[in-house]
Amino acid sequence: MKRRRAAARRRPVRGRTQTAAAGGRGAPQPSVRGAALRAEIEGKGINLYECYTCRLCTEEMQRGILTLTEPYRKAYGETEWRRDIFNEAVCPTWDYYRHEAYTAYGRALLARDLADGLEVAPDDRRMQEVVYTCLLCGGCQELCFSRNRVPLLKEFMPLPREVWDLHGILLAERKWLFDRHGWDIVPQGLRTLAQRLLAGGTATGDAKSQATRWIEATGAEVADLSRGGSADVLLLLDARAPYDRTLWPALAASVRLIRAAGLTVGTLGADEIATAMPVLAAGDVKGYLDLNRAAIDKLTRMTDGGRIGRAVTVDDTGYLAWTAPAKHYGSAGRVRFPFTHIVPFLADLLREGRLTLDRPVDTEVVLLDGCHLGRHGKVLDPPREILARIPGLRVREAALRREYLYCCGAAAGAPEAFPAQAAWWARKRLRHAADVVSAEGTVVTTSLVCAAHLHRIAAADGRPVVKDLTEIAAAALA
Amino acid sequence: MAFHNTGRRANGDATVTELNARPRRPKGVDEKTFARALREFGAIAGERNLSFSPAELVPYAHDVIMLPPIWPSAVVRPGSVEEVRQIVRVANRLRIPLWPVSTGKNIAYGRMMAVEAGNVVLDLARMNRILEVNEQLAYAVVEPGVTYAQLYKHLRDHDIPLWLDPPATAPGAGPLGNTVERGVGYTPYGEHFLFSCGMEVVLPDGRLLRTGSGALPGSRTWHIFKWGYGPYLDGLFTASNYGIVTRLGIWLMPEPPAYQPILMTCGREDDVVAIMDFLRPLKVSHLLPSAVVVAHALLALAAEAEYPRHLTDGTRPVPEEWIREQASARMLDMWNIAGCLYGAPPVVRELTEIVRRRAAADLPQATMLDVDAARQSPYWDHKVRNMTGVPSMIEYGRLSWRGGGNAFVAPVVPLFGEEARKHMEIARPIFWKHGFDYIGEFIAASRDQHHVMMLLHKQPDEMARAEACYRELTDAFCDGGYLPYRTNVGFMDHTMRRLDPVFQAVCGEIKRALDPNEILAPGKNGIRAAAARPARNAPAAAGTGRGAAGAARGARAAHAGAGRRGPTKGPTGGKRRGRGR
Repeated sequence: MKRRRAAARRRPVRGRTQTAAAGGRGAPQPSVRGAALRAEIEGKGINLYECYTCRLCTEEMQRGILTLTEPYRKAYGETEWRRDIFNEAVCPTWDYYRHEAYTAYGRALLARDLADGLEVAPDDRRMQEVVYTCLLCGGCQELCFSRNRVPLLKEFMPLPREVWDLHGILLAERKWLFDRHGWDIVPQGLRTLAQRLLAGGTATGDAKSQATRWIEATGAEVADLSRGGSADVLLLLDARAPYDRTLWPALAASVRLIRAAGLTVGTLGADEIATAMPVLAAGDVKGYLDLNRAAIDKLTRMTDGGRIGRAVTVDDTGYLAWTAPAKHYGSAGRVRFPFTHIVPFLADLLREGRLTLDRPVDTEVVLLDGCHLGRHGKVLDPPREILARIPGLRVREAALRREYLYCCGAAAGAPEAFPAQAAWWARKRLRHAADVVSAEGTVVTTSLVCAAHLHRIAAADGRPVVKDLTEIAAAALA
Repeated sequence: MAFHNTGRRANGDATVTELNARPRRPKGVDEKTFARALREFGAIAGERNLSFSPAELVPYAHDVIMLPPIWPSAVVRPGSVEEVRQIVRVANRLRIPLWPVSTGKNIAYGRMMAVEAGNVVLDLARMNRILEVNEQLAYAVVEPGVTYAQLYKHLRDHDIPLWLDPPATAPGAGPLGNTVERGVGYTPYGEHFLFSCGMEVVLPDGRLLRTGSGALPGSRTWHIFKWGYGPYLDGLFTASNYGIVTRLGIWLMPEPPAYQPILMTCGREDDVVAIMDFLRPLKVSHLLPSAVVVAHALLALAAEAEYPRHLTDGTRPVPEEWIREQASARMLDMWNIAGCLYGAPPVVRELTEIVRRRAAADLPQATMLDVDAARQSPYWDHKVRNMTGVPSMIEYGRLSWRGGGNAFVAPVVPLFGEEARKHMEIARPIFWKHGFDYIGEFIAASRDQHHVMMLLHKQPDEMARAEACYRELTDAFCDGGYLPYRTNVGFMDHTMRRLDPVFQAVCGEIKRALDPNEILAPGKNGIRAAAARPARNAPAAAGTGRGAAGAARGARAAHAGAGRRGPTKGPTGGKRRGRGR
């Protein structure tokens, strides 16, 4: 019976079934040793022993070296940045579990032991939880003492080494676990999502042929470039938005805003791409990179053929996938055509005067930065610039903002793999919003992944209203 | 098996064996009994608060010291005193060794690592209530999981004009754990045990002891009158393994109307003699009430600079020219002195003048720093924070100095300049011999100076060298009559064996009386019920030189052979039963 269940667990989805079963990628590879993990991490220039175990990655406990850094001063201004102790949880998983293993340093120590040869059983549920509840949100990285110390030291002396990089370790750890144990080690919900993306290219399980339903539903004026033709802007929708009804208003708003700047818009229709961040979260780095390379190559051909002027993604995870450095398994450097995210793109249009937002919007909003676009992508000023240009809008800042945001639990396949925890994180994030806006206020995000997740939780709780930034901006179009 | 680590563990089969032969249960406990204990622990604390997956045990097995992981067999995290008592009763009945930790931040002394592999860690971090803060009588009552950061925030958020006394490196550490480890801070309340009052202790049989005035049911003076009636027992529960402290009263310093940091530098290494002699009368008379830190330049630089491996090859001392150059860029000099005066503004002004005049007369080579200017330097800012009740953690930066490793060496020395010089003369050649730098500070207390040195090393490459260095330092200090006030889990037995046999025997007898089954923190501070039989391990008393060191090593080796880190000697499979697992 047990054997049957194990076999069922290993049963891959659709096209990948044969690969894993035949001992290809996704099948356990006992020959992958700890030394490979060490090589992977050290290959990124990271010394595994530079963790101080100080736990700043876990709790923001004091000013210390952190507030000597420019991002912190910028986030909290001259009046607030001198706070001695904030005493807020930094790591959402530690916040939930309050257990030392569920921290970035706990996971970094685990990576060290795995590299030294520690054996773990792929069906150890607690081990799965320790590794895969990590949202890869990067909060640890932002506050890490060891990491922040290096740039400060550089003011005094040249340094012969790389910055300590927790995020790089966490990603390498997942890659190694996947390389060694295959899909067996990936928690069920995340495995299903990742395999769905690899096999069908959508996060929801819909067929790609459904990728144009939102156009019919919203009446958006957008060309389907899968049938030929050209457009100034190719709007990349990625693997979730075209299939998730809650996100269709944001897509329609994006089209309206771009068209208001006098540009034509197209999408890939049934040929829509999938950048598939959950595949990376599952540790299948090769699968993830293969998907992205194929998508980038496709767009390169389209731009080379003069069919599109630029590619603008609405998906913050897709933006990160193509802008992250190679040590984080990103494709920065491969994208040789004009590419950006809708938020900085709109901010540019506004700055250049090609787009104006002059219709008053009498609403109070709180901006919740997202991990992928905000923290990792450092797109922090453009959303604020956009909101600042909307007349009548009353914009509030959450206490945990900019790089020091708190992940809402939408990332890394958490809603699929760990729904209870993901809902807990979302509710906490919504409470952060409620601390600074009235009950009638609107929560604004710059991430469609966050928007979908927060929307689900808020809808279940009956409050608050959650909108994508493009929806608020489009409301200000004359 | 000693805990030597030769070369990179990643590539050594022995280490892989060690990791995977980590103990699945305590030594001498059979599988069935341990399974029953875990079931009962889970039922008491909740399944979610019981861990035995290696991934959940990892943080409990590591510190930055020069030891490879010491794996617990499980971790249980009670949420209340009642749960602690129930767990202890189960442990006593089933003979399960428990290793209690409070916030688990005893960094560079072992953190959450036990002395022996296979213990069940009793993690008290969930018990994190601030039970009381009395503003008028200036004290707080805390549970083990309360951190300095948490208490600081509580005082600030409630506008309570009381100061903490944080240790140098750990806002995440807690006042209860630091006090029972006899930690120190930098305000006039820096001797933490001295400023604690009234404990609640879970004894090894599960009974609840209230010390001092707390012994009277309904006592109204538990946390304000230390001595109570009858014997004063609190000291027994510090630096020992006789009970689990679950509640502690700590006295807090009323925020003074004014304070004046005294920050000075001296440029020559031999100035340390004059500095300590200058400080002695100020400290003995309590004119300068804060702990006064006299830090070597390299100690400050280690937290703020990059180790110049290109100049040392990791085996030679850092050149003095480099130290001077880097120090001058940070308002530092060879010795860096930080103390603080407190009181009403006219009093502080007057005291400041007295200190200045005496410095001009007795320590003319010193440079008095402008405090505001000096605080632009992270080191001085950190020192002022520590002396004014604000947790700070700049000193964590030292862990980057050579590459992730640190172990504190902390002998206590009489407060004389010549003693300081002599002590450096003992210490420095040993550090250099093993290829490490002398990185130390003298912390002037009332009549003694803690000579705190950091054995900063690169992990894992330099761990074996660091271990040898640490052992030689400990022995050299003990030979000279200087006792470390604290040591790490790898040297607790070693240090205890340097003490008088009668002292060892009495510690063991108390252990046997309170914990005959030896279930609480076996080997903590070298205290074992077996030590009540002094003939087995008796080393010579202090002053016997190499013979004593050799005896200690022998005793330790014998003990290690009897099961300490036994798993490293065991087979890689999971079948072995009994001792050593």
